[in-house]
Amino acid sequence: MRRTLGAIVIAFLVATLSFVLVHAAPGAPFAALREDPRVTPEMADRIRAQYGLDRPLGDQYLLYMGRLVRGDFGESFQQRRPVRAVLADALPKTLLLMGTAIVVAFALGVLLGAVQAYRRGSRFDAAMGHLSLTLASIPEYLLAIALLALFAYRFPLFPTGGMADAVLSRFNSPLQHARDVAWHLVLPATTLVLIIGAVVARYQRAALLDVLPEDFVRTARAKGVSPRRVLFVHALRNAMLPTVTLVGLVFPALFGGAVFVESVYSWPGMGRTIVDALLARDYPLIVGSVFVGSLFVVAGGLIADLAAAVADPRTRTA
Amino acid sequence: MARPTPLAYDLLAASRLDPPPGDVAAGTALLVKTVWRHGTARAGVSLILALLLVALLAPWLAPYDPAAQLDIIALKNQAPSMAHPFGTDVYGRDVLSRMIYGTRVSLSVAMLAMLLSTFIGTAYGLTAALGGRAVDMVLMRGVDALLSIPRILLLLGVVALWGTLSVGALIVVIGLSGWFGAARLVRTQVLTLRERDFVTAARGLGAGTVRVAVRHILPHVASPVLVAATFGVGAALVIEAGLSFLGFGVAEPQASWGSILRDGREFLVSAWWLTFIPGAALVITVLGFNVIADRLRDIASGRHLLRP
Amino acid sequence: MTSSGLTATQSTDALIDVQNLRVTFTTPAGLARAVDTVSFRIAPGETVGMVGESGCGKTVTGLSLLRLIEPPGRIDPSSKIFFEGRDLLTLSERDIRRVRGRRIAMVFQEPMTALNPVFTVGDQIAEVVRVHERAPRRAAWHRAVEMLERVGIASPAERAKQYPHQLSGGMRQRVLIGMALVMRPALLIADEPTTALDVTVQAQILELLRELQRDFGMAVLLITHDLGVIAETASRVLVMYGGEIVEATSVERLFANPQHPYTEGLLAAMPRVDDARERLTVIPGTVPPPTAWPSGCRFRDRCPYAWERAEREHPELYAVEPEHAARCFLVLEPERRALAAEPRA
Repeated sequence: MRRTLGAIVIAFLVATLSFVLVHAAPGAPFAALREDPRVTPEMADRIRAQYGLDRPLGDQYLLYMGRLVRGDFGESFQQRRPVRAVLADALPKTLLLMGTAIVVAFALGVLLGAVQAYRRGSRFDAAMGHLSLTLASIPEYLLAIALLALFAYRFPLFPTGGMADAVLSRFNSPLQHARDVAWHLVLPATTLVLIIGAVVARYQRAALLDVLPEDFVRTARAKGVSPRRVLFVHALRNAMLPTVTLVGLVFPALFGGAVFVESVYSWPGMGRTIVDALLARDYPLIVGSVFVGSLFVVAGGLIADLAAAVADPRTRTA
Repeated sequence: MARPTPLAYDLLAASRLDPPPGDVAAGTALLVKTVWRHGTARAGVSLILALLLVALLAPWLAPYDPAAQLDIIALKNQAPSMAHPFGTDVYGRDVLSRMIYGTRVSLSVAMLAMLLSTFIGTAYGLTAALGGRAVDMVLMRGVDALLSIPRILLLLGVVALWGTLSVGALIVVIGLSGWFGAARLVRTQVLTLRERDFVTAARGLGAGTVRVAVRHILPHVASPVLVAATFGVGAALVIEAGLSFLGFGVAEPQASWGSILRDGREFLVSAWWLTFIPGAALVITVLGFNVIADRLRDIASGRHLLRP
Repeated sequence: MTSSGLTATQSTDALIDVQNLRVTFTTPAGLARAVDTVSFRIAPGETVGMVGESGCGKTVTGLSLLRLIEPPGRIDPSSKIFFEGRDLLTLSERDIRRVRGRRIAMVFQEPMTALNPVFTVGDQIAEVVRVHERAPRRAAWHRAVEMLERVGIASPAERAKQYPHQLSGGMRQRVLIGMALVMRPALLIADEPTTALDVTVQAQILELLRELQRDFGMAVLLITHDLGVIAETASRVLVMYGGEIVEATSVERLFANPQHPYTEGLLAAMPRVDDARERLTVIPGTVPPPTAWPSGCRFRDRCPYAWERAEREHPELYAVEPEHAARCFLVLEPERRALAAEPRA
């Protein structure tokens, strides 16, 4: 399949880009290693050997690629454990946050967009249009801060951050733990839902208005189908296909949003791992998390594309 | 807006005016007038003009030196007052002055980065569309790959490895990470235009590829590119503030809206103005650019004729 | 049902009685009078052809009968469409929906786009039954399969489960016809039902329509630009030009004795098997835009006979014989025909 091939090309490009960036950065890579108090002399030697820093650049590149293919990203300076283990912890947490947000945002956005299209030109439509444009114009980090200030500090309804209560989680049963995590998930997920949902609603409304002049919509009306059914069944089923594709296209931006949201709410996912790694100059973790983060994004887009293809009988059976 | 029936569509298509080729001045004047007639877009334009003025006149408008730590004890995180309308920050600096100078940095970074992105994107898209099949395929695969990496990851990768950036470097880095969409847009536009009659006619008259591209195709790509660029300013503004917010933006003590935001992050509850003021400025400005872009898009698609 | 006008009532023998139908569209270029004071009747079981160039108002007329005109289009409130004793234009939105697809059905021109691509054809036919009869899912599906068989689709049970893109153009048109007829409507509006199809398929579809009409006993309003199709199927003809009916008569008389110069032009432009001519004649000029009909007669700019009266005065439909009328001053002043000795073109 062409898309899968594209994904491999992208992975390769990202990997190469990371390599180039690390080597193009001012000063030799890992120059600060010797002075870094977190890095023991043995560790530094190990790293230098691992990266083949004494060998020519071409060899280094091959070595680096070979390790990436095997999923070996080295050891995190900061956490003193394999990068792979750090990422294995972080990835599911981002998946939980983004997955929840996308599913809820998609459902709400499609519904809102459809109701707007159904009542196009009404005051409700105009009001929602302004609201969604405003929400889509608010940077994720600002909305995150606003919700945090409002619903965690001013009205302490929800926790201020993290993924579970640090103390209680040791004693909680699995069920209690799940409830605690869901509780911590509300604000970060809502932040993403509001923004993604606004984008989806705007797009869904426009897609529906594009579909309405189609001949088959007129056929449905001529059959005696009610306007509501015409819009929510006949038109919407068609207009949802481009919206699913849209989610795939904006997936990189969604991940970007998650980086900020995780940072504001200290959600221990990929985004926060990346930012922490960057702030700490934890090179192995930077390369590993940027690479895996990009793969995650590419996979997300691929899944959305597949979903759109499966939902469309023309591509499914042709 | 109720949907027009096919008949009405035809009439609309017939009545839509293509800009007179060559007469750029008249076309621009008409465009400005059409934007201005729309209430919301007019508000957006006024806001942007006012902000540009603030940025330009910053040294005369700012009551204090934005970097001066006025009184580290007495003026630490002071709420808005007559002397300091926007309050002071944790270092005792006047937030109003920092906002005024920050406007300078934030706006210039966003707008110059957008210009750079638009220039690269247009050139790249033109090359892909007119350079033949093989060139097109290689170039567009590259863009597709870059588009699928979150912009913030690209930027964070660069910024973190290089350490803190100067304003100029920030412009280049943000500009370099923002042209992929524009390239795709220009390429698609050019590919559809290439088959149109007037291009074929120009070819037939012996015009070379570069000449056809610059004289005959570019003017017709201008309107979608303008729309995308206007949206692009808002995006660049958000990205710049986001980088500063995460701690990777302009160096202290220089102020940008994002860095003021970051300074206030720890004092969300005790010094709300440190978050609220730059946050509001950011949202309103991005909205300003977006409503203008929205209006430009309506004009480009002829939709403004439906709703005068 | 209260009739809003004192004089406007339905004539007793007509199934549908259209009186002074006017449809306008608000456009940036001005008000488009797409259909202007069109009146006609169709008797039960009758096939009436409506012919004219594109843009003459045929399709808009057809859509008006089902009240499918949407903003910026508007049916003038003075218009009347009596059907089965009620004025369709005064019905509530709910009541008109009970007419659509059940009593009056419509088949559209483009079988490629008139079917919803994401539903199976069986579902799309069954939906009509379920909307109008509250029939259970299984029963409606069964009716759909039956109908597919009735419109000549082989292995209908399997076909019903397929999507439109899996069917040929001719089959899709059969599906659309089945969808229109599943409720056994009293009137079928067929808008260019064969235009988008291959010639051989065209003949099959026309034959199917004729056969179904005979079996179901419904009336048909056949909208087309092709006089050949009219000759094969209709008993009466309405010729439209510029949003108006310009000639109305039986098929036989239309071919034998056309009165309106536009009809003459259409007939001259028609290819015939016994044709010895080298080239087909075409009517010079094009239809003017509906926002700017010429004053007086709307055909005058293209008419070989037009004289100054056509500029000054708007012609009425003048009776030539009891069942034949034409909107042309030539009916009143037939001697003018001879004056224009050598018609243009």
